[in-house]
Amino acid sequence: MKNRLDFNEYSRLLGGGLFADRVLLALLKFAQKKDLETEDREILGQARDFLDEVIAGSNFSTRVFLSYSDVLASQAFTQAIDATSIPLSSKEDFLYYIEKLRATVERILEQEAVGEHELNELIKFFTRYSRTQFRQSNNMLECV
Amino acid sequence: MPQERQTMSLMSSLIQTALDRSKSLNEELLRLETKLFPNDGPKDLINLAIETNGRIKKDLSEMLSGELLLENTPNEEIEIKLRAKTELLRFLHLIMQYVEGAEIQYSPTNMVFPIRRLLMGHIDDFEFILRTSCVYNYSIFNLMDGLKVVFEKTGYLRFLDGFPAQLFITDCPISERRNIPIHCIFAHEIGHVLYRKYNMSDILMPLVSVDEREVQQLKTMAISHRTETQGSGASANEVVPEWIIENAIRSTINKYTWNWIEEITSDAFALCLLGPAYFLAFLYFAGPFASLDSSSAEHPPDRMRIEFMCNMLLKYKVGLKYNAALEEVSGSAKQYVEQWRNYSSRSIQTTFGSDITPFSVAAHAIEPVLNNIMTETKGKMKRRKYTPKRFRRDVPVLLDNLAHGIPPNELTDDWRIGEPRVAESEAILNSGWIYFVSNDDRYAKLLGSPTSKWKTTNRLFGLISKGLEYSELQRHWDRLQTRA
Repeated sequence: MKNRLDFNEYSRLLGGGLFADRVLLALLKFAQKKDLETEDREILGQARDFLDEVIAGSNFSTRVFLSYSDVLASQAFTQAIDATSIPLSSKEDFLYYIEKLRATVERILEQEAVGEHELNELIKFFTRYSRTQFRQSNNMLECV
Repeated sequence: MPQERQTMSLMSSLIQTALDRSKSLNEELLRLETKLFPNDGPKDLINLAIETNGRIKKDLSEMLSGELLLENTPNEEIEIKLRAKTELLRFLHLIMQYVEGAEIQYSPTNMVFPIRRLLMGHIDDFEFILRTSCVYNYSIFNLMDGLKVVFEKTGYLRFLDGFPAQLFITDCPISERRNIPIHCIFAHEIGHVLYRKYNMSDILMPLVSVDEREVQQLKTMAISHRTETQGSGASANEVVPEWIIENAIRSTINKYTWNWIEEITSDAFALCLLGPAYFLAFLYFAGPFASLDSSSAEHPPDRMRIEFMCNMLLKYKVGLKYNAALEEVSGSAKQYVEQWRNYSSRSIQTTFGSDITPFSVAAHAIEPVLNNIMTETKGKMKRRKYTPKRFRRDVPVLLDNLAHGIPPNELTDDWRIGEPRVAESEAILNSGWIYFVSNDDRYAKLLGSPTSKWKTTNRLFGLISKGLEYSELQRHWDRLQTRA
């Protein structure tokens, strides 16, 4: 039987918001200095892993969740939908959008040139993601 | 004042306010530190909060004193850094609620040692907080899962060094704190812990198979409902795309099967830990409040759980084989269990009929796995199970103690030569429940002139509680004597 505040779910959502904040911090610093410190490189690596998880969570296979990583990937996929600022007419469009974001993160990590529009899309995504995670975690406190 | 200075002054006052909040929290933590608890778990948590808050205070003071740095830092960066500190402050406030209700005067302290022993058989490096709350429910979760996530994301992970690897927060209803036999329900909560410890999802989930035709039926119904509610005039931007509907259906069914398998397996572990005592406590506690055919995202229908538990207790091959032991010790108790088995048989057909809902799809998906749950949990428990053999050996004698108003804390296997043997907690709790559901009225008669059922039950529960208390005192005394 679960606690009346699902503490672990609340922590997961709060953790998601704090993670997105750190990604934003790294991106804002990169936008200013066009360079990355070790700590920022690490957090952008985690951002890339997160986007990989979103893509993995789109798997509509008929099997049930086989492991906790399946649960996390499915949650990441559903929550990324909320953070998207483009029309979601098809799953393919959504996955293409996520893959473009991932490619931008990869180019930043490889110290390749990144266009201003691509960087802004990445910042916009993680800003929305941060806001939805914080909003959902706050909503949980209000329900208790 | 120039615009930039005004903004800087605003940022400074925000940081100062956050610092004041940290100091305010510190005063509250020092007050909590003076309370008395039956075990170390609450104090460990309070000390963690004090240390972490101390560090937050230091970091905020440094942010405030570095004026030049503040002036050269973009506002968004200051806001993000400040948010990491204030969210952690709010988080520390939140986790302090878990020491409330854990004080000695509120906590069911007679259960501390039995619960610790049950956990120690399987888990290393843990602590727990046993608390009462105003929610009429039992629950457990591992606070460390959430602590690690948030402490890591805020850069304070090293404060968890040296902290127990697992900190279980387990709740029971405050009105039942003295009704010790009902706390057999904690065995189900420990079942959740064992479910994760033994990675039961890796074993059981691959055996679950969702009927794809039923999923497609649900999808068709949902799309048709969308068309009815949104109308044919809705624009492309307003219509919920089919792939999002399908994602919602599949992830809902997956969530139900994932949670329900865990709940039923936790029941199975609880039966392995405590035998019939858990099942009888479950019926007593949940029965009157259960709508037997209601499902939720977290729990399968109670009818399904009861059917499963009856089968696991009584089945010979895959179950725990209590059939003969129950018959031998108390025919009326065996009859009671059989009545519930008959009432709950064919639970899926009774509950869902021919309806197709996400709940029914989940129930059909997990039904073929139920026997596997029995065999796999038994396999994980091995020699640490409470068995019909131990039940047969101890419960009849303790039943007799109860009938005569004697706390069931010890047995003497041979009165001619034997020393009394301290009764196990499992035996004490089983004797209490078997006596309760049997038709034995000797104890009621002992209480004198016609006594209400409520009063007899209370006195019986008190006797069982004394049995647990005295048996713990005897164990401590034996250990002290051995050391001397």
